[in-house]
Amino acid sequence: MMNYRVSYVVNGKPVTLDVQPHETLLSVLRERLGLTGTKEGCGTGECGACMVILDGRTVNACLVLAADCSGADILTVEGLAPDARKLHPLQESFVQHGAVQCGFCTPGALMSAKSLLDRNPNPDREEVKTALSGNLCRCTGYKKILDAVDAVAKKAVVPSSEGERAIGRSIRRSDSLEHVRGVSRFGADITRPKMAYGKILRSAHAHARIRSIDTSRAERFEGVLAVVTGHEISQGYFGVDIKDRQVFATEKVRYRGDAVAAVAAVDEEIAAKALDLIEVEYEPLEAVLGVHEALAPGAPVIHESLHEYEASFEAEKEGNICTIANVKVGDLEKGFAESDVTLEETFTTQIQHQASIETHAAMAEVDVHGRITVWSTTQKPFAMRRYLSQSLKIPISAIRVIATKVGGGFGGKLELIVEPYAVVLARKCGRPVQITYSRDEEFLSTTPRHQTRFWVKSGVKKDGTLVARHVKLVFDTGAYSGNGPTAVTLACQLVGGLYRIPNLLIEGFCVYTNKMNCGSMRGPAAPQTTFALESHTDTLAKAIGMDPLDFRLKNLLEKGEKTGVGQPLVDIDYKKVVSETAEAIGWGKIRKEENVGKGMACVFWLSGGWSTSATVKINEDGTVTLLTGAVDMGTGYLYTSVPQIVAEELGVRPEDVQLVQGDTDQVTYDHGTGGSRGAHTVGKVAQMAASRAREELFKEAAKKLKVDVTALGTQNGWVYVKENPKERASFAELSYDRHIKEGGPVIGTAHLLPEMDEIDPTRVKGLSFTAFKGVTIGCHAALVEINPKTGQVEIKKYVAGHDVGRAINPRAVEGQIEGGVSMGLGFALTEELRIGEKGEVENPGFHDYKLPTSLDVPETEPLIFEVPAQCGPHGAKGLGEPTMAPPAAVIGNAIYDAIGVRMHRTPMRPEDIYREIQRCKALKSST
Amino acid sequence: MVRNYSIREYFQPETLREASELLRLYPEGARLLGGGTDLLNRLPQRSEQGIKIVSLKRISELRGIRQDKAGDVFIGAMTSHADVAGSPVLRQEFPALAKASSLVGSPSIRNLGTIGGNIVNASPSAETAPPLLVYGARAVVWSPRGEKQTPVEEFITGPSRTVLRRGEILKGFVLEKARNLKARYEKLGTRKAQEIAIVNVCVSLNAEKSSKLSEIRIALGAVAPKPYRARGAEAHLGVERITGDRITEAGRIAMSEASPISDLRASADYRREMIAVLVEKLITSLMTEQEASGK
Repeated sequence: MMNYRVSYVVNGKPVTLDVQPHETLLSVLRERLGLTGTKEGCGTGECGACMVILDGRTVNACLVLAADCSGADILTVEGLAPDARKLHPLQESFVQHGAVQCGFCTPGALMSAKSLLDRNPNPDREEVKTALSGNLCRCTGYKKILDAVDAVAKKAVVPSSEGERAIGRSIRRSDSLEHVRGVSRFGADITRPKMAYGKILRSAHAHARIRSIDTSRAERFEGVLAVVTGHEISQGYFGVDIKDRQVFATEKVRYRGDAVAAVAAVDEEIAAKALDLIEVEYEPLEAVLGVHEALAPGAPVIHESLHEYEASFEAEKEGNICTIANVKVGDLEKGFAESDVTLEETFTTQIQHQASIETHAAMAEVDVHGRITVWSTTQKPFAMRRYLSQSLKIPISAIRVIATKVGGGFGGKLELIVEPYAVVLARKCGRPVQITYSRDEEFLSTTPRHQTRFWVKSGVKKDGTLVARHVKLVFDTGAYSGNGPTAVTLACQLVGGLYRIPNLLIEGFCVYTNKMNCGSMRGPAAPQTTFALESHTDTLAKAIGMDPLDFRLKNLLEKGEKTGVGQPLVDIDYKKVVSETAEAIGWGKIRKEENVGKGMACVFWLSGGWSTSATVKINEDGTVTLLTGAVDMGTGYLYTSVPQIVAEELGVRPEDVQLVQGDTDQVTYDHGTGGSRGAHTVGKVAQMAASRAREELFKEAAKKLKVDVTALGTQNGWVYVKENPKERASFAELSYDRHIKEGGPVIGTAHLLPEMDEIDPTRVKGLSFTAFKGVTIGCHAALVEINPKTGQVEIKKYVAGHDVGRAINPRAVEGQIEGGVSMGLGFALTEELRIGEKGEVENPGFHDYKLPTSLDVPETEPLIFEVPAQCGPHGAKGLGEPTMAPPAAVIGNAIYDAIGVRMHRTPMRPEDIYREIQRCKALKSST
Repeated sequence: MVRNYSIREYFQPETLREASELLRLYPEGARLLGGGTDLLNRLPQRSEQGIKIVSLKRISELRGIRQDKAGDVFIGAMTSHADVAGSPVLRQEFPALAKASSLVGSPSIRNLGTIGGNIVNASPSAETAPPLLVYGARAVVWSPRGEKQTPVEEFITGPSRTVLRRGEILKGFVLEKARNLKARYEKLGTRKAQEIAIVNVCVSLNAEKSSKLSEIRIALGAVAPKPYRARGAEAHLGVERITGDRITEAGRIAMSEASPISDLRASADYRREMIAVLVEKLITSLMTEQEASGK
């Protein structure tokens, strides 16, 4: 291979080095110059994570050959603020405005913003949006990024986050400084001495028997360090609800992403070539690519051993169905007989992918004792340790999992994905092994949102009273059960969560097909259920000539009533959230214009659950350390709300709370970040631990100040006597005294297994778990304009109301809402993972898997409601997930209002809307 | 991630002659590198003989936007979309072309991608093709034997195919001053950025002539194996006074002239029907503007 000498000026400093002809500027910056602030999200110039400024212009560093830009002046995020003590105004503004969530797209967005302001110091909002339209952000919904750039251009005053109390104010997230400087260590940024590179060979068929695997040629290839298949290692089954999956397929492949073998080599190129040398002989079987085919009599069976699999609940299974769940209330037939109008509709939804801008990555290293350390982009380090143990039959004690910074999770990083391959390769070759998924691998073989089909029939009286409802819902879970049983269970809980339905029957099915395994994406089952049921709500309202808002207000459940599964509702006020959101969009006051319509939709959600624990230490200088097994997948709760809760409990500043987290060797158990349980459940246990640490402080202070502990209070790092505040002792001296006099430390620990809520066992059958307690509602409303000639939708206004119980950090709450709406609009309008006739993914890249850009997302107006939950810290409820559920139904209902056309399938692309308009026209003219 | 390990050598010639010689020397493996936005995503992952990249970056003959005294404009093939979109001359004289370039991909893709690459790739949906066709642009083809000019419509012969023969290089485009030619461009996609067109349309009206006999040109992209002029529709409008009915009819004719395919982005039917919608919309808006300026 030839080398080419190149010279650049990088961040003001001259650099000369020899590069190979295939190397990109991105790989040189990251791998040769150690400038890992520039990220890789796709490698094809579509995500913008690798944006740098080259000779004054932004470029995607992945599309520039290193040899081709010799002589260039290059600025990366590391060069934005040459003085390490100061931030560039844009960096400062990003931090202050909450423009940073996971931080993975942040460096690229900063470079685009910098380049814009260099050329145009006074851009208008549209110019800012355009400048950032090449930077995909999956977390923020762009609004706060735009605000941050605007503020620098206008030299606006930084919004204040001052306040008396630690909670209820918008402090900046404590790790955002690392993110804006580009020094955060994400999965692919972890390196180890002598590390090797792993790659995975995946099935060439959707469904086939493996006749033989010959790895001998690959093993002999120079530079190959290890080749592993399932035949040579001891494998256990793993799975969230049903253990039906193994790390390597040995006898049968069940989808085109199934792993058959893995290779470690001295570099990625050799690993890739070695994959070509592995010979696998398949006996193709008939593939089952849809639920219709899977449920047909005589359909090929995907899991022959279905009934032998271990399950965490009493799963009813048959054929290709891995879960049958039922909810039954009242007498359905009687209910329909009493109804004035009955109406049935069928809705279908697509596969949506989490599409975090950071792909999955893992590094595994084995020490001389055989103990394994795994650095992983996981949302669940403790569960990851258990999954690795189960699937590879390694004792839990021999595994340490360290969570890296997560560049967006959205539920995609909950399960065992890339980690076991790094582990088996590292064990075999004796060197650390790193595997980073490419963007197409991400789309081929990770765990996206279930494709679903909802058949709904409802009966209603003329006065608008809902009397009966029958729902059949089918979730296509792909080749393995994954999170399917849980998603079906959630759907069953959500269907009856909003409205009073005296006669209800829900039949839920989770079905195997030969596609990728579907998992937990932000609010599993929520956008699908909300799209179907809330679209149906408006169809019903129209059928009886009632305003959709009035129809909702008439049927919404109230405090003290029970949901369909029999969960009692406390701490809720649905009507307030719905009526005030409607008021914010101007419901009832909007003048009817041609092709313009309004729509609303509500989401019922439950959060919390699963075990967690925390420790709070008071350090000898009076600062506080919180140790937690939880990680932050990008939402920021662990860097905002949780320290705020701890600070509030103790009477210190939130910035005095430091974190130790995400390392299974250093902290105690947490179930994992998912189910919107961050601020709600992790926040609660942190509050409990802080409260115990305060008790310890008080014991020490009571001795010192010679008063009873009940006479004490805390403020600003001091314990004082309430009646005489001049009598006081600092946290620092109390902590140090305890060490010197009695043997420290001043510490509080707590554990929490949140109580599950009661449901009515006579109503349900086959659910994988009962209900979480943290019940909440969201209501979104929009004003949209349709171009009936093209089917294009223009969102003119979007309002999103959520009951968060208590906004511990209002800006973080807004960020969740704005980002959730963006993701929900992607589900509604543009995103769809498409599977071809042979089970292949047809669009495994960002050019045709279409994430909304900064020019596509409307500027959501968040509305925050605070109806406190007894089970949450300071009343806080979970928020992350429900934010993305309503948009599809909102847009569908607004289209219906505007032009009378009801959309029954997501995504609603312009062509789909246009087609439906044409179909309705044809129907009309034929009748 | 995507790594082009198949690239084995890199050359940086300074003249078209040197570049051309490299193409002749390595008939199998040589690939001309412009902005790289398409090329680097399309290279084969495996290549026996190895890919040899011939960068056009240092060749000054391929750069710049120049207007001569007659008002004709030369655009070098290596001119980036950002420079096309931002050029005062092009914005003044050929605004539909500047608009088309301003809608390519995203800002950084416009900084990298070039107008020459856009046409040489010969994608049916190439953004700049419809305006270049409407403005009657000619492609300047350099070969060791000399230069020749070919209308852009003839330069592209099919998907990923052009008239270029071994050793020939697209040097740029010549656009004759478009006196009184008013043009509009529109691109239909699912998103507002980072889109490959479902349909793209450029329509022009020769405003010099009386409104009795107007000359309309219609160029379409993404609806046939290559971008093309909808001559049947043009002819229908070119014979007598343009009325609303005639515009609608022209849209229908343009539709019937197309031969779109169905793919992930849209069905053939939708593409065809959108031609009529966009053609009608752009002609109507040009006519309205002309009538307003005539009053």
